[in-house]
Amino acid sequence: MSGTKSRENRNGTREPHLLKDQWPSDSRDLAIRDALAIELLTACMTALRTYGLRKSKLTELARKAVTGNAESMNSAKAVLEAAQQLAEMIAKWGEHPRYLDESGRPAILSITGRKSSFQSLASEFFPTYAPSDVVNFGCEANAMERIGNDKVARLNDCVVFTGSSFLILAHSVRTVRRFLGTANFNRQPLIAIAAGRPDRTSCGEISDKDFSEFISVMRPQISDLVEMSNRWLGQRAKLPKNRGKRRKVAGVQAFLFFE
Amino acid sequence: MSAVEPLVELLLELGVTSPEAESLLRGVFVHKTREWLARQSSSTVEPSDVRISLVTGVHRNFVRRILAEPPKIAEARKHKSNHASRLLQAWYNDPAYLDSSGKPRDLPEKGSHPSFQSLSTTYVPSVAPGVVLDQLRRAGLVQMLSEHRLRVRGRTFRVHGFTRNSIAEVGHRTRELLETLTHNIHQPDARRFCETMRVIEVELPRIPVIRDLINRRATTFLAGMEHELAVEASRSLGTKRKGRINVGLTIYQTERGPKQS
Repeated sequence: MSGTKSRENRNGTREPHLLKDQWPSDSRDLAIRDALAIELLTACMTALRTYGLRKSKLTELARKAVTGNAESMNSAKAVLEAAQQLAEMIAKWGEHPRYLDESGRPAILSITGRKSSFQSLASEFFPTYAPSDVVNFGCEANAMERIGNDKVARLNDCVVFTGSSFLILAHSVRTVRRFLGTANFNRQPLIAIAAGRPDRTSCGEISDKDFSEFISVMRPQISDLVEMSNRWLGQRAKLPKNRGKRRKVAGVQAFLFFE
Repeated sequence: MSAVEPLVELLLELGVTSPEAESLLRGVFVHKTREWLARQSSSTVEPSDVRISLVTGVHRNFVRRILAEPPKIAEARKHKSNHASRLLQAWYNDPAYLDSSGKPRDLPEKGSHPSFQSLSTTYVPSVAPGVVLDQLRRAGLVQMLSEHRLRVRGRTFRVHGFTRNSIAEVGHRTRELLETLTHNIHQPDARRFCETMRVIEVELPRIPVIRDLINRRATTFLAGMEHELAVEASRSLGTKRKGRINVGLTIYQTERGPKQS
């Protein structure tokens, strides 16, 4: 593993290894590549073990993944499908004039009824479910809350996965896949900087207390960024040129970290 | 009593508390007594603190202190954060009362946590929630929605309508804008930021949505700038007042109907 270490100069301080554009080109580069691959796999394995997967099970699953014998590559999509539908329903609640109050914010809706009711909204996204089931699902996801027996109010502008291991694991799978897709795109040789997909990081060493403050500072900024992107994408998706079959999912994802 | 009642109502509208009003009244009382006694006397000598004390019933030590400066609310009496402001701060900052975007939630007026009742009893335990709500509604800071739900509309206590303060704000904002515009004409190489987005036309029924959107985006942006520039502001505290300059950033929305253009 010596390849992963940075070199020491005459003063004893470490110098970062300057990478070449294309690699591997020699055995040292190959060693670095392998070390990075192990690090990526270890990070995934460590995370998966927190979900109750033992080493033996992970080995078996890893073998299946390597040989391409995995049963489905759409498990994350399936798990998140209902949450995705709920997110789209929540977005429409905050956007469509029929579901807004006079101040332009999501209105309180009657659960049943024809026009401007929760039933009419829910039937578009969950056509096979009873409105009461959708209300229960939405309340569990902290997206809405009941008011009395027959009305609901929108609580959040997104679906919160917090507290659900199933949803968080599926979300992690989708996030890693999307990030690797962006990383793969950006590592293409000779790609123009302006043509690359933006990927920015900021970090600094701070205390637990300051991290709490960092969360409260960044939460509205991130929410607004994502909401702005969502509005733009939603409007573009409705255009005729984007209604064809050759469509791909585009988006932006942002999260805070504390290592 | 009849003369004082409207004054008390006005003070309530302005968010002035009883101790603040008492402190202000005492100051005005002492200053006016000095003027009154001076008019009564044929001598050119100013009335003594003891005499003013006897007439007003305020201890002579306080009389001296009060007369040393113009009438104002004593610092000790000033409510650093009055009831309404304290509750508003909590509504904007306590995670239990925020949505997933970090913005204040709409709350049911009564009921279990989180509700306006729970917010008020937690942060303003000495005052009935109904009294605090009345104060906030009068100031236009809380909007009553259907189903007894409440929406907060601002975090700073501000009196609406043509008041001395609101007219002063118009003058202040206009001056700031004119200063920036004239500065940019005189010094194009050291321009201060002054940009406008392309004017768009929207359908009239969409105006509330657009206003709400601009409000939320601009508020988030300004809060972000404030946090980012906080380091610069704290760094300048070590330097002398002469070496500092006030920097501000204001965003405002414009609307213009077809008849106005």
